[in-house]
Amino acid sequence: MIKNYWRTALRNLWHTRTFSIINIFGLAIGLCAALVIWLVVHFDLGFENFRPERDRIHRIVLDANFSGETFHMAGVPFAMPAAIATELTGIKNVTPIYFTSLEVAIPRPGQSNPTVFKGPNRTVYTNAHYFSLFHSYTWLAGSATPLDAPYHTVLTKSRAATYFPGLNPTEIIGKTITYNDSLNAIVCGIASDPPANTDLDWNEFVSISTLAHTNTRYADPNEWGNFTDASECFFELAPGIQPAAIESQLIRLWKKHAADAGPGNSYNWRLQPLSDLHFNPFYTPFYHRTAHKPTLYGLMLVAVFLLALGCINFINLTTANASRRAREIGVRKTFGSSRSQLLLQFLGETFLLTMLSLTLSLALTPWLLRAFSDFIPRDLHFNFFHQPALWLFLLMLLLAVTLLAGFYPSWILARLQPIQVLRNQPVAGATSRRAVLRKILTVFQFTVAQAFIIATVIVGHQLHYSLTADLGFKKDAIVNLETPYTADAADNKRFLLLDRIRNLPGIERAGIGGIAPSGEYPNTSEFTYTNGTQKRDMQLELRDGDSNYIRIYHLQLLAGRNLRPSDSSTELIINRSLCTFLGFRNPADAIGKILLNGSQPVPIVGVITDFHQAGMHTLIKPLVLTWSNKDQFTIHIALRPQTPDGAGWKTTMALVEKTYRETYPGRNFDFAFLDDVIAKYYVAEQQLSTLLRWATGLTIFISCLGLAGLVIFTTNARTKEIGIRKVLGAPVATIIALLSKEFVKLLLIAFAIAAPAAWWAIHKWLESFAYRAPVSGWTFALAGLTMMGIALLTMSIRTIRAATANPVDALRTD
Amino acid sequence: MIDLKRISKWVNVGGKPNFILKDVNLEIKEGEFVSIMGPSGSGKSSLLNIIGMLDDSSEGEYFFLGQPVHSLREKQRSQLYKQYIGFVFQAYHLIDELTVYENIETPLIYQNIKSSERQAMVADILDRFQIVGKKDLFPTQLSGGQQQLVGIARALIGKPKLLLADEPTGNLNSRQGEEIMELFKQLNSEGVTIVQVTHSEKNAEYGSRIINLLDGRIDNFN
Repeated sequence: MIKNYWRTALRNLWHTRTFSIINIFGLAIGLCAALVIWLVVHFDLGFENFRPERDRIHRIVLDANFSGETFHMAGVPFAMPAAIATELTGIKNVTPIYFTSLEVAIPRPGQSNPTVFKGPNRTVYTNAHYFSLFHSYTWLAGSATPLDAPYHTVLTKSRAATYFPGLNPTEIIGKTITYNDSLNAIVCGIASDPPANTDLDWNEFVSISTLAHTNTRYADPNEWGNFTDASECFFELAPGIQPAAIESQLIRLWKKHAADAGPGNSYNWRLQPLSDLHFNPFYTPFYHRTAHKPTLYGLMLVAVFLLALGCINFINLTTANASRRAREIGVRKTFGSSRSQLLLQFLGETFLLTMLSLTLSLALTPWLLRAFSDFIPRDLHFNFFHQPALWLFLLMLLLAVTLLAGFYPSWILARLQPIQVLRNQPVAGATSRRAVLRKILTVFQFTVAQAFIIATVIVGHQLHYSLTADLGFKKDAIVNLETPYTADAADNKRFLLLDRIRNLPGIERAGIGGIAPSGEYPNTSEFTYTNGTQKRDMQLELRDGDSNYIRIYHLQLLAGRNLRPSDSSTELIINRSLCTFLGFRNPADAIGKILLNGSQPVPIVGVITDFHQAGMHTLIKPLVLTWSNKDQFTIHIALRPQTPDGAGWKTTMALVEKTYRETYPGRNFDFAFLDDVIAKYYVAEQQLSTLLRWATGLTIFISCLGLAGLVIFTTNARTKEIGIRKVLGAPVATIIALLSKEFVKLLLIAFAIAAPAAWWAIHKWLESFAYRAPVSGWTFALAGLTMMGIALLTMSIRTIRAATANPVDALRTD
Repeated sequence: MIDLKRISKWVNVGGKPNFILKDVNLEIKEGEFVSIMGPSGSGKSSLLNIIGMLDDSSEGEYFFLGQPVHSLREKQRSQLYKQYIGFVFQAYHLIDELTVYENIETPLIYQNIKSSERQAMVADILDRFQIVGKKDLFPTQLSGGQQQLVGIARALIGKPKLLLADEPTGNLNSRQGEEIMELFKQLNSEGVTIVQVTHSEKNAEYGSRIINLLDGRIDNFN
């Protein structure tokens, strides 16, 4: 029996190959998207899942509140982990972490110079508790115990192979590694490599007590005041202990050791479970990317839509073609087939078709993984042999799609009454209801496609707006160069560098200051303004820059003058918003007024136009520009316009780098073009835009495949009608209109549903922007016309042929 | 074998019953060859469909081999016709996607007959109908007469006691039609009960009894 079904199925697929191809492609795209998205979602949601104790391991994070601004970080004072280990109860395996990049040199016997490895990353200072807390490692040689003493190092297998190629693990134990030219550490253990789905992917572990013997910033064992997010602390809660209990102990510990933060400021120490590490953008996992859960869910939704659209094609085309199968069904029933046997037969056919689609999608997947590489975590692999979960997923996908696509048409087909179908007449009564369903499904398809089109257009529009809008300052041809921090006020190397840079060819202007006009993080300071009796405390945006700052960034003076060149100015420039905020309608009125910065009175000498301080997401805030050379380490460079051959900036930057290296030998040359930095504010939006473009393209493609199928079906079914109409004198255009009319109606309904839905969703999304590109009715009209155009074009492939066919042929075939 | 008592069939058109069959009483004994005749729309095919259990009557009783068909469930009925009845259609109704061999084999599959046994049975009948050479062809590659031959072979493969034929020669030329009728006559002589619907007086003559239908009633005054 199975063989009989199989044969019928295969021959049927072949017989209706146009429809089969449409179905296979539609489903394959859906399956492919589902597969890729599953790989991504499974990978990201699976982070740290291999650790059974992931909900008990916590990291200390900080929500600090300074005058109303909240800052989030995962750093702790260097002294804190040790204090926690001795003073807190209810926790174990307190593990300090301090990560940095180190220069590594391996002395080799018989060589005068050691082999140098520049800045291999994923190196961390920690102690032996690390391996008790994260105990997924296996040991190839040695152990972690010596890590509690200074000058010891544990390497992972791959790192050991990099440093000591050709040696086996036991031979590596006891070897010496030199860090930053001066620190010698002994390899005391070789551990297995971390898996791909962890953020704790360190490859090199140096005992943290070594740090006390270096001059590392903020790494003093008694340091409570200053800290960086490179210094972190993990531990495990004892059974039955709630995080809240530890948090309150932490706050007491903090109060005991640290200085008071001052009025209006507070430090809230909190615990972050390990399972949250990969997903919380407030506290980055060691500068790794975080996965955005809403995006993951959005991706799943896209996969479901694409699969649904493929299934709809199948349902529509199969039910539309039911009359073709009707005779077979009638005959089979007359000769004794039961309804359930037929149901199984048709489900089997769907299964076969889904199998073919899945095979095709597996072939497409590596290609799609490349196309989506921006979204796909770099460590993600598509490998059948190591992913049993993948097999299970594919099997479930296969069954789900078979049932989803196949059940309804199979059920419809199987319940046809033989008496109806054998009467030699079209199956009239049953088709009308199916046609309604077919229409509903088609409308659904095009609603999804239409909504995606609208969203793509508007997101693209907003992105373009954000990237090209006038920010109020010059952002092109500007480079920000970071010089090394120094606490030594007498160190004037950076000023010497600045002078040398100024004299390089290709440099229009250069100056020194703090952050650029637009920075990713707020930089604020407290000021007070007294107007007669009324005193106002204000938290103002702060920019630091010398007298070149407003010239480099083309900031327009509305009134007053620029800051005077000096070491440290005792004057301020304010922006228009602050001017208005202070109550001056005319900018000139603000000149000469005094603001108090702490207790120091500073006069306002100039007013500049407003500029965007943090991209289009946030409102322009009141701001002051001032100058103090003490803590500013960024050199702002305006380049001359790019040369026609496009090589000018590169040459100039090479000169800048040479000059920098001469001034700061051995230090990182850390610079960025400002427009690149600003474009990065919109990485999430750019990714969304790319994703939407793909989703739109695919939904349109699948929907049009289905539409083409339905048009082929209707024109076939109406061949005779078209013939008669033509004989009676209908022109070609009328016939094309007649054939398209029904579908155009469905498209209009789809538009009517999609437009408000898309409008609502996009409205929500746009709320995250303080400055939005206007969304006009034209955007919607354009999106609707695009959809209509694509659909009509798809239909025309068939309608024109049908309308221009010789009517004699149409009437003779009957 | 077949006993129809006061069978009526109607459909509602605009709220009023429109009778297709009215008060039909008919008894057919085993071994008979009955021809049902009548003008278009007289209810011939409906009567045949009711006899073949493909359709229900609206009223009346139907006993097949003593079993009350009118009160059987769908499943039992299907069991009954699967076992005892073979169908031949005017338009042949072969499955286009299956070969001649596979078409003939299909009813056996639904009767859960083992594969080896099926092979033997199909080979027998192909032999008997002299269409062995055509067994791997598809229906569209055959002439109408050959298709109908396959249709009859398929109807007979399950060794039915009753063969129902709805205008079996309607789509055939007269020579092909004669051959089919000769075949029917021969089958009848081998013990198969046959009920055929026909327009043709000549074909009707092959049967042992003619029933005339007019407007849904059996016309006894012919």
